[in-house]
Amino acid sequence: MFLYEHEGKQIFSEFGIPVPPGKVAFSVEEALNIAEEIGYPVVLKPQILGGRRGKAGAIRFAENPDDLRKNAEELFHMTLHGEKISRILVEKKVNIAHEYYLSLMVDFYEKKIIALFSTEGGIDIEEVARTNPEAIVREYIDPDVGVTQFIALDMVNRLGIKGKKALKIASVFYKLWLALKQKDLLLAEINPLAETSDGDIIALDARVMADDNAAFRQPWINSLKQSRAGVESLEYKAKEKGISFVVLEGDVGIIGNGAGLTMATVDLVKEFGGKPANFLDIGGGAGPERVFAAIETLLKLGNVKVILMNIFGGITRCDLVAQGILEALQKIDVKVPLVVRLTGTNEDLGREMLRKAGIEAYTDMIEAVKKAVELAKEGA
Amino acid sequence: MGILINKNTKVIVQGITGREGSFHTKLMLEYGTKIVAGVTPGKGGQEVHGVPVYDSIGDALREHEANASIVFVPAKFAEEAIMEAIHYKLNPIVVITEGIPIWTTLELVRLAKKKGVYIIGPNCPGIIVPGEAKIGIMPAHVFKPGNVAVISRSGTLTYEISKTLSDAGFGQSVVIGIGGDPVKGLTIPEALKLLEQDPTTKKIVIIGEIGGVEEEKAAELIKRGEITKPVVAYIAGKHATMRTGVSFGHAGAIVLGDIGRPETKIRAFNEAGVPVARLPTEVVDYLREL
Repeated sequence: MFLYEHEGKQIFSEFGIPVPPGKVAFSVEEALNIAEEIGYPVVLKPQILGGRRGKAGAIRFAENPDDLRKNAEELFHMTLHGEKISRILVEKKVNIAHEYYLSLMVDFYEKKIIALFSTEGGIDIEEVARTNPEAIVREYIDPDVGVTQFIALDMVNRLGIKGKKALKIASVFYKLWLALKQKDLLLAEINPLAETSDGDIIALDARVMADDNAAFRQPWINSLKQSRAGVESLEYKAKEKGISFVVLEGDVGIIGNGAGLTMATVDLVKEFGGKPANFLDIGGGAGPERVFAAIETLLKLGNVKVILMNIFGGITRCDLVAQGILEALQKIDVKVPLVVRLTGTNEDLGREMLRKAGIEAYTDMIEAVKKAVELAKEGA
Repeated sequence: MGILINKNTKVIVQGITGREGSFHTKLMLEYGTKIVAGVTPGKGGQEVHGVPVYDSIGDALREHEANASIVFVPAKFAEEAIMEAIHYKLNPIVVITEGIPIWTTLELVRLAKKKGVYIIGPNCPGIIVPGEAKIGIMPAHVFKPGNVAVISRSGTLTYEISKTLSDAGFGQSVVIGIGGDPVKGLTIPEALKLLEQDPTTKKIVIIGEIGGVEEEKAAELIKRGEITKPVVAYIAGKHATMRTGVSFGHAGAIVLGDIGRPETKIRAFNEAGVPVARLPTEVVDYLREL
């Protein structure tokens, strides 16, 4: 999962990486109180998970309370890259002398760590790579060795930074490595890493990705998830029931078993002119309760006009899937049509159960997809 | 004869006393797989479907000869179990377990490489050489012996496509589910290199998906001429890119910036002369043409 900037900075602080004094506010009043506490001038940074804030004019400065109130009110009414702004990081403004870039990322394929350092911070690193590649040093780090002080210093030195300043940046690099390793992070990026007019080195932004699989040994990951709202909260609640759920934007609700088959179903709906509302994988060996939960979850989306279920029974038993569907039909008010493709283990039994409830299941997935797309269009 | 496993492969089931481990031990035995022992610490002396259970691999190896392992141990305890299998150089080590932390897998895969053993997975359905042996959880009835090899990042989609292959008369030399995690043991390019050397395999099907760079690396190999056997590909998740930075079911099915995009994978395959089927059902049509 990706972390909000303020969550990432919290981790940085724990490892001794300097960040500006600040706190997250969920309302204008909270923002005013925080600014009062840390002192003006402050910067207001909306917390969103994707996209650029600077270019969208969503990073604001405030010299005094009136200034802050006006800007914070505007920001709390904004939607940025599809995300409604609900939290703003209020931070002490820093006088920037220079901006650097620093990141560590797990290279899944090479099974190594990519360390990047650049003297051109504050802009996309991809852009620097295109326009000024000699301002970047890249190093593949052996995870058994890690980012030692000497590797970090060498990387910084190579771009012409020497002495005390080099030591300060290298120290941030080393601490970032410790955070990456000890917190089960997959990506930790500081852009910009600022040099202040006083010569301090300080992290002004944080882009951090944590490994969901590590939640059992990093309990903070689930605490953060529980604190999330909206779409993310729906997805997290589904996950707790053993369902992988990703909200998309269309009107054809999709349920499949297995991630690959479900992705393929999303693709097919699109190929045949429909708009997938979601991705929902009930996983391997699902019983009736997970099928029930899946249908229930989809109906919470509101905009679903038809539910398409694509089940290839291997370890999953078709009769148990049918039982889940029947229970859902009995207990919840399913107002939208259900198109079911059911094949594999115990398919005769499953199809017979559905037939008695008036549902004729398909064997061929393409036919089922076409039917679902057609019904969604009729319902429009 | 298949690659990685064959009818003579002697298997240890780690986590045999659990629900999944026990259920699939029964199915593997029914398929004819030679399961010689099971391991669950603290359950030594028991039996599961007639298979003797030991506390440790070390203890099992004092009584039986074994060369491969399949791991059903829950994610929390999987690290120790896989480490044990690597220590005794069981090969391959098929890891069914889902949810192992990525840093743990990374370290285990590096260790396995040093010891010269293959890890298949984690988070995978396993490997089957139809008619010979199955070390995995796939439903056996969809597969038939033949000479098309399937390498896949998926489970159910592999069963779906394999069934269309079997129904159309394309039996399989081997089907390898390499798993849905971002860091894994056997990768698509490594599997391709093994298949290139396998006399039974005549054609290869790659079932890829969004996320990572394995498909691109595979295409490079093919382009360089290191793989001469005809290859057909399918990529799942072509239209699942409206949300980036989010995993679609598999931890590895995630687009991060420019990495893992379906269009890059499809382009790489096309440039290497590999046709990419638009629909899963079209894989068979391309195989006929090759």
